Amino acid sequence: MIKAENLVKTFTRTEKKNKRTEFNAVDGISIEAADGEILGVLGPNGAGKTTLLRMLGKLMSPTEGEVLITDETGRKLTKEIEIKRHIGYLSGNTKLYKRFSAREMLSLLGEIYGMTPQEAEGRIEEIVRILDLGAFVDNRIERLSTGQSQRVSIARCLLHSPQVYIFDEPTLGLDIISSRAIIDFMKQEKDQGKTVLYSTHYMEEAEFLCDRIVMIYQGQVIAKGTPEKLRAQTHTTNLRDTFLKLIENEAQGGLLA
Amino acid sequence: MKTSVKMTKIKAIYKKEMMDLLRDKKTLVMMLVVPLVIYPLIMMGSLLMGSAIAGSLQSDEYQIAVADDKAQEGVNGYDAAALRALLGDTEDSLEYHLKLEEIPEKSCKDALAAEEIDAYIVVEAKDTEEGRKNVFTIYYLSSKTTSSTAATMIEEKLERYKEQVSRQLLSELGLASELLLKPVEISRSDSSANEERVGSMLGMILPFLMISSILLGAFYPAVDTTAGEKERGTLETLLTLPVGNDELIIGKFFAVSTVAVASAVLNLVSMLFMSMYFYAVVQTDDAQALQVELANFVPALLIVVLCTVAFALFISAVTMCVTTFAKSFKEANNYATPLMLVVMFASFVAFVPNMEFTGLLAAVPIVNISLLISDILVFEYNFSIIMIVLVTNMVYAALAIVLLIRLYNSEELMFGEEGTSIQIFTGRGALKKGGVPTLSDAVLVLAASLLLLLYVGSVVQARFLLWGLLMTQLLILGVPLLASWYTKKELRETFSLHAPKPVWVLGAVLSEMGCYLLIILLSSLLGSLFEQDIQAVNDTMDYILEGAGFVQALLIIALAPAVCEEALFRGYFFSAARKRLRPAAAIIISGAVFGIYHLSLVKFFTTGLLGVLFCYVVYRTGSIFLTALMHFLNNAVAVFVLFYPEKMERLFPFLFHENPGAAEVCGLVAAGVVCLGAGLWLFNPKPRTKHIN
Repeated sequence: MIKAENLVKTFTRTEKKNKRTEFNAVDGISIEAADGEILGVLGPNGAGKTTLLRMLGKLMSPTEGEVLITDETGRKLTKEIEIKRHIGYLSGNTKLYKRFSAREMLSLLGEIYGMTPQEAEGRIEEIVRILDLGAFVDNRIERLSTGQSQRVSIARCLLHSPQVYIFDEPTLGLDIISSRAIIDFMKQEKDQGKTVLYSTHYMEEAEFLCDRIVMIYQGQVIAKGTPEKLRAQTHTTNLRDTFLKLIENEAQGGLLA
Repeated sequence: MKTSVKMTKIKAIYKKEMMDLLRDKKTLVMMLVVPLVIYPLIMMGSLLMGSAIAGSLQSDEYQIAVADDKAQEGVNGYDAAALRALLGDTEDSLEYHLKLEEIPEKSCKDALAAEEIDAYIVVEAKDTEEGRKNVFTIYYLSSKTTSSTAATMIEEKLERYKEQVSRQLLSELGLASELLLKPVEISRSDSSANEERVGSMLGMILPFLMISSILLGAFYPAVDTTAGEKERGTLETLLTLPVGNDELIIGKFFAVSTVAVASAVLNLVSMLFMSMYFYAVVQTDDAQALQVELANFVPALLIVVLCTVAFALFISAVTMCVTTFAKSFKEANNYATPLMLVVMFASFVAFVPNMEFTGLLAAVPIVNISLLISDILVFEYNFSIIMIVLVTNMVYAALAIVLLIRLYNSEELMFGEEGTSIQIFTGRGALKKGGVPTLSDAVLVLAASLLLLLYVGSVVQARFLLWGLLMTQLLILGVPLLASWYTKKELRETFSLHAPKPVWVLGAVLSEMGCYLLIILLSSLLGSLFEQDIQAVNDTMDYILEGAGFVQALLIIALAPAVCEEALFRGYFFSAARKRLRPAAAIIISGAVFGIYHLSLVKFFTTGLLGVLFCYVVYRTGSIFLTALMHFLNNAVAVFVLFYPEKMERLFPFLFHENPGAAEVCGLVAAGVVCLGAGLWLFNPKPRTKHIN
């Protein structure tokens, strides 16, 4: 489970003539995702999705508010290091160390996660089996194809058996087969009782995958609920129209009844 | 338990960074190629060049001529034939050959000018009180190496000829010649141990080579672990890991310093092998080779290695701090040049002869390592100084690491997209038009001007006196102008070219008067403290002004600085400082920089104060014309005093009192403060340059 209440992130933006203004990229968002649930975070570009997910993953510290997660035993954790240990974070910006082979990188990261070399070795064997990395696990990452390195990225998230996954647009720019691998992975982990937080621009993907959806606009939550509920609220038949309608309403300043 | 967990993580990060670095070609090249390939090449090249030069000297034949004799044969036993025989005698000189030609004097002169001959001799008989004497004049061209060598050789031969003549005259008088010819013997014997002599030679070059090789060794790994992670997009991956910034930085830092130390040690070893080889070669060549016991160098070298490690830690931390600001390799490389300039400039201190290595200098980074290495190599072990150097380097490294940890907390730096702050080394096409210079650029421009002042300015001033001063001033104006043209800055804002209100002009004149009074008091106070310094300043002034007219002096000493120095200090530098710093900090720093730039302890305080006032005026009014006027007035008074001391003393007697009484001091302070206050009050209360947060 991951939970955050009233998260705020303030940035200073440098505009023309060196005028610096402050603005809230995330403006009081409360969010909660349960074990065995996939929560979709949707919103247009610049809505604050990445900042929100970075704060939840403790890559950034919030200006206000606190993040809390529970591990597999139900223990509540709030410290940065402890949270990071139980989160698998994947985004377009989490690139791999290209000078290593997947096996080398995973074993080095395993050490940083505090595993003994034997533990790391065993875990890597397991992951190689699960994700079918055998064919290229000893090749340098710089020589892998996009799909192959995406699978290594998943392996990186999986390495420390986290309780919570945070995926920031993980399928962006991938072909159908590569994104399939990620989508299948998220479903599997959900079935094993893990928490998955996930942002995307692909509405069909979200509709089919998410148990619940949080819609974000200008740093605030404008709607949340199951895909069905959101569709019903907006009298639309698919999530794409739901999304457009919600944004439209918001831009006009009106709120849904 | 907690610390052991931390250690494990640091170790894991260290391992990851080391593996990553050792697979990077750039790092490996810097670490291995420089010591293993470049040094031997340099050494070999210098050996080859040395033997080539020696060879060319040996094979040279010098053409010399003796002009038509005006000397009379027989004067003091002069014998033209004997002299010619002596000059033409090549038997005793194995290395060089003189070829003798006889040409009339007039054609000798032309032949020398046309470089057909290398030198010629004119012999003239001259009557003195003691009788007739032959005077030998050697004509040569000091600008030509062969000519000066020929002249030296002729002189040697003539010395021998002189001795011959003396011996002959003495023997004609029936006196024992040897004792009279050489009544005393003078010889020099060098008591330095051979090791010390070799050490002092090594001490000249070793610090510079060591410091630059450590910097080169540290730079690429530092870029790779900081800006490199950003460029390759692995920084965010790194931040997802359950490690604190401190563990991350310390792990990275140790990896960078390991590479830096390794490359420094490799450099040292390579240099040692090369110098041993060099030594062996020289020894077979030269019969008087220095006998050096290499074992005597072992303790010295151990301390050098220790210093190297301490310095590698320091420079790694500093370099990482610098490169963390960069987003990419390309940007980081922009920072390399200024960093190298600063470090290498500081390491040049070891070249300064007789530099006193005190406790204070031992705490100055880079300089201390440079001086320590050169001291150690002449076996001047001062353990307290060694300790200070080692400890301060560690402390500075630790401070830099703390700073680095804080930088890694800065999300703007980690995720931000801000552009480079050093624009001077950026391609001009990539720069946007307008705005004022960045502070980094301003610091570079200032450093460049200072270097020009030190190296070019001092030479042209010694050569051209007052005109040299003008040239220096134009250089000072040229650097910021060139920089702002290159970086496409808006000149009006950069140089604060705003017209002043008429009432501000009055304010400027009043505040300048007030400030002048206070500065006179200050300098008479400081004068008693730094008497020598003041004397030196005055002597330089007198020397430079020699033969100059009043108008000329007024233009060059008062008007030129009012334009040129204002453009650099109150224009380029202050506008950059204003943009980045709080007003008070910008004003004080710019003022202090103006003081430092005058390179004299007394002037630091007086011109520093003046600089602060000028910056304040620009800050309040946004008009550099006011401070140009004030600067002109300030310097003009000095010119008036130099040229018309009596008139000035009659008009302003208080300017000349060396030891003013208490009442007079109080009066002057009051007058100064009132003028200054009234002047400042006349400026518009609203500052023209807006405060940017």
